[in-house]
Amino acid sequence: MDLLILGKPNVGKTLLMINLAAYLGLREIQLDVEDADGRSRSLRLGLERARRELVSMRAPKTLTVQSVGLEASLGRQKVRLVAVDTPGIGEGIPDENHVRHQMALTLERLMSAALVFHVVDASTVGMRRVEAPGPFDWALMELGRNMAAAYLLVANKMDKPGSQEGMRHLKERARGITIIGVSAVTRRGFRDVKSWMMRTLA
Amino acid sequence: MTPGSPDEVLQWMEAGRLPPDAAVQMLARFQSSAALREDTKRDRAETVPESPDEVLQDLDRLVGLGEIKRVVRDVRAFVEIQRVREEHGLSRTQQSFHMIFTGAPGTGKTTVARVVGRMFRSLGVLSKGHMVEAERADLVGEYIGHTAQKTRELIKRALGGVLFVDEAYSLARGGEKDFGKEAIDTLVAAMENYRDDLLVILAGYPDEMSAFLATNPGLMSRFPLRLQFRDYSAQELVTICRRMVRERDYALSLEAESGLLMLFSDHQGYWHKNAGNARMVRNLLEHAIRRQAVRLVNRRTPLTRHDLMTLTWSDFEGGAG
Ligand SMILES: Nc1nc2c(ncn2[C@@H]2O[C@H](COP(=O)(O)OP(=O)(O)OP(=O)(O)O)[C@@H](O)[C@H]2O)c(=O)[nH]1
Ligand SMILES: [Mg+2]
Repeated sequence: MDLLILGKPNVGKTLLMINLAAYLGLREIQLDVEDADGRSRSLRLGLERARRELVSMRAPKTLTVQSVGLEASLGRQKVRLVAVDTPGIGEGIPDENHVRHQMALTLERLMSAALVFHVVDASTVGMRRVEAPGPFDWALMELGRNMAAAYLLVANKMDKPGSQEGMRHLKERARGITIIGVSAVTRRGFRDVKSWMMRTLA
Repeated sequence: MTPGSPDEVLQWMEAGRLPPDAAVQMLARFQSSAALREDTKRDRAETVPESPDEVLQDLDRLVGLGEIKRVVRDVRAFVEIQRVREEHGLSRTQQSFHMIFTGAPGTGKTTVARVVGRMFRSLGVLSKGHMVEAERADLVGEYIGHTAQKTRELIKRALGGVLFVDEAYSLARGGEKDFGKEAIDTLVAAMENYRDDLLVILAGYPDEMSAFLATNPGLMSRFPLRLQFRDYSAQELVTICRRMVRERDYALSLEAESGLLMLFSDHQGYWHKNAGNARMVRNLLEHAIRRQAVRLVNRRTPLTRHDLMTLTWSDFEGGAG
């Protein structure tokens, strides 16, 4: 079962995936990375190293779709999930073929994923930055509305200034959609995410 | 003009004709048609996937196929040990599992291909393990570019599972200029691109298959696993027939069983050209069931449960004609 993580560049998808995996009990991350030339490799990284190498200060860092196998203990049941981290999708049509290819791969996964985390940066709502929510996010939220139970809007970076304000704005837009505020850094909100997963998979 | 399907939306976006927000909007429109929601529901219902042992048990239940069962077990062992090695920090041998199935029609190729898909899913090698069956007409198009498009679409449907191409050599039928060549090339490219989540099985008669591979040397190395499906023996066919009969809530009379054994052993007469073919057994059985109904309907005496269940040799005589 796929858990697809997607959103704008630099919103914290990768860090969220790593730290959530740790929160769900994973000690080591096995990454299946698909290189730009379509070959896939398998990497095993400790969590520290994964954070260091996969999470960046500057966007965009994740260039290809990569997945992590998770054996999550959700309550009494064990669920095998494959968390799929994707390259950030920006507004507009990118020039590079491979970027468009990765976008198509991501949206294709979106149509078949069992669970979807749509990650937005709550601290940049209304700003003119790559990670700020925009038309792509609004469209994705509408799609999520149809997907009902399988879709979760994750408002990340709730530890940053301005995020409360942003969250209010997002909630306004997200009527009828489940939205959870988190911080991938401080791990606040992770418990809510976990219980959402338990409920959805039950 | 707008894209006519979710696949086309993705193609347009990849071609640079749509920005992501517009693409998502269109996907949302297709998605609100209930079908996709059904899919995700089904996916979620499968939280407890089959174990490899469960799948192998199903394989064992198939009649005959001794050698094939052994190879499938070997593959399972290989995959599991590679995984354990990896957990111990040892390197993983990259191995592709694309397969060639040779054998006459009705020797169990399709059935085994399905089981193989499920097994790889249970081992975590394939994400879905479903099977898409294809033959020449599904892959080869009518004009330039059409073939690649058709083939790619089929591959997309097969992603996460098994693409089973029956009578694969028919792709090479038309010679150099034929579009079949294009289908082969597209297929090979896709096998490279999706090597981790697609299993391709090419199937067909042994002789034609050998000739096909000999003329396409590039294919040889890409299909490391060869499974030979022998014709079923007469005794195996009787066992298969008995199972089909039982599944349908019927039973074979004793003389029907011995009659069938004789028929299946007869390599001279009617049965000869279909010897070893389990599919013909099904046809034969379906005809027998119809003949039994005719026989019973004309009877005056009340019908017992036993009457309703029993297929006699007279129901089978005359074959599937
Ligand atoms: N303060 C704060 N920073 C965060 C949080 N989540 C991520 N970041 C930072 O945001 C930056 C981007 O994080 P990534 O996880 O690489 O973001 P991404 O969305 O995967 O980026 P792309 O893969 O390039 O799209 C990094 O510098 C992170 O440390 C958060 O919750 N709070
Ligand atoms: Mg990333």
